Amino acid sequence: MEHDTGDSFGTDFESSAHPAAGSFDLPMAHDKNPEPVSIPSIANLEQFPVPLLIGNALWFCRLRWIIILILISISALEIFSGNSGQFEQLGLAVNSAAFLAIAGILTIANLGYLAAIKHSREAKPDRLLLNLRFQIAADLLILTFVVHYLGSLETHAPFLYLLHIVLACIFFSRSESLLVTMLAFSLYLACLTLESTGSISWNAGVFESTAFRGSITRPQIVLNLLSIAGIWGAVWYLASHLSSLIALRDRELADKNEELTRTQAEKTRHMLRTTHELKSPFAAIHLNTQLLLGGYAGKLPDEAIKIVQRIADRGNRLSHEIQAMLQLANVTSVTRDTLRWTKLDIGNILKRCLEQLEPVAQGRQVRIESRIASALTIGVEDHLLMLFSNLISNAIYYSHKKGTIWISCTPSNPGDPGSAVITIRDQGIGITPEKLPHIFEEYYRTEEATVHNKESSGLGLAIVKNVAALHRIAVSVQSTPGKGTAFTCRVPILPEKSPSQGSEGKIGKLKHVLEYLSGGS
Amino acid sequence: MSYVLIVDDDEDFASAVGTVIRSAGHEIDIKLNTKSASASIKTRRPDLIVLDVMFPENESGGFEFARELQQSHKGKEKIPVLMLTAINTKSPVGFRARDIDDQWLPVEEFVEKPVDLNLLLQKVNRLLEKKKN
Repeated sequence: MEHDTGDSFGTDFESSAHPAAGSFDLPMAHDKNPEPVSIPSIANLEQFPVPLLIGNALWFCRLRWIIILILISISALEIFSGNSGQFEQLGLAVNSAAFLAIAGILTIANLGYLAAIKHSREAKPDRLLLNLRFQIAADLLILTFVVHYLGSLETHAPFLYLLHIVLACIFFSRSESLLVTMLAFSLYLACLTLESTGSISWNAGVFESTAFRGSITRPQIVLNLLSIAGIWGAVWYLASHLSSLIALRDRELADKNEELTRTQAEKTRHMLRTTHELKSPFAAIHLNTQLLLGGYAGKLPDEAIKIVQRIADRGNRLSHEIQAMLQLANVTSVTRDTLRWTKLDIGNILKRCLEQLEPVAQGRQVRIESRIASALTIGVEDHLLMLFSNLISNAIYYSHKKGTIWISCTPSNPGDPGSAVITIRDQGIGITPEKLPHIFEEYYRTEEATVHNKESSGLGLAIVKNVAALHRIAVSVQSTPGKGTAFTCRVPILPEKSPSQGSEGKIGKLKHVLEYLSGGS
Repeated sequence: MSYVLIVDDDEDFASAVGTVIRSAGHEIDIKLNTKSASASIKTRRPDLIVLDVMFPENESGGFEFARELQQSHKGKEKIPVLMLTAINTKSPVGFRARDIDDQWLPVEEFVEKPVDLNLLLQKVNRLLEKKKN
């Protein structure tokens, strides 16, 4: 049929000369916009603590960049307004050199932390924890200098310690965060003591006038310290309590998740065993009846051939039904996270289905013409094999003798660049429009289908529906009774990487630097 | 004439496979477990092994057998393996990741049970011819 391999190949009924009598789009069970599932999001679930620690450490570094920016801005404001004397008019005397020095030290420290985090990505969690501990301790020390230069008594700068107390509550255990709180208080106390004893300059921070500092009495300072201790303690108590509650919930969730994964694995294992136990005897029956029919045991009388054929047919049917039931049970009972998602070539999957089904088509005198391009997606290999082999075998079983089936896979089409379009079109018996919405229901079979093909289990399209929902594949069907049916699957595909990526010149390099600074890899 | 070793715990199935291959003009032997198959290979090297995956004593016994075979014949000519299994080909369920790694998979062909008689013959002949060349 050369004329069919021309432009009409793999086209839908929409675009061909004779529109289909009916069409039906399988409603999507999930999001309307199909998105390929990312592998990392699934892989990370198993190794919970290390990514969390890395995340915390990187977050901490990002926060520090903001502090550095603020310090530099303060110094810059002072330097640029220095000539006009605006700062003096406001009564301010900012030590811009000190702030710049602190910003410099923090920048170096931050780069060091980032390098250490990158280095310990593969390492044990305790090294990352050590990194975080060191970050907090070093920060508290540097913060004490900031507080001194901002005004340890004149400003609310001491409350900056609260940031670290809260962070410590998030990162560490309760006892350790209490230690951090005590360290913060000790450092602040030390700062005040050194200032009052004159060991370091008794200045007023960013303020010019020391009048406030001069008039404050010792009992007032003690009262101040006590109230600060009270507030910090309360914040530590609440934050650490909340944090430990969340940690507890987290652990409960992780335990539940592990339990679920284990149950799921147990279930699939059981399913595998059952499949094996049920299919093995059929494999033996099937092959042995084929031997009888193939004349391997000598020529059988015609009547005997009929009987053996009947046994073989029923055996096959039962085997198919059992397999379909197990497959359906398999795809309806799984959750996305427990499946093995990999990068797959849909073209390759289709070719494998065809290899498996070509003998069946030959046996039914049905021709298959295919035009299959490769298209990458993220999917579960077995599921996609099931989906397409069900659609193709339906096309074979519901075709007339000497009919042709067209199978095409187009990786990208102008209207919808994010998905590959797979079309399986036959010249078979077709489906009446009013029955189309029901064909994906379990055990639903049209009368015409039952007459034409006795072997079907009525579960094939239910399997297709479930696999499509899991993979966010849009399935639509168009059919004309007596003319044929076309199933169209839109499978979300992975964006193709252009070879120029990775060497984009200066902008690319800048992007990498920014990524590095923000802790990305 | 080639010599084909069939390793399958299902005797009814294995003997039917044997009948088919024998009728194509090859010599065959049937072993019902991997242990006796290993012993048999030591006395006579087959031109092809038709192998099952799941054995009663070991769910992935076929994979392990094929892996051992691959390792033990370094330097010598490789024996091609045609794997017949009732589970869905390279299904990940029940097997460890290394069993289904394409890079590692130590077999030449995978056919799912129930197998079509003609397809079986076709694959057997193809593998035997490939080995001769």
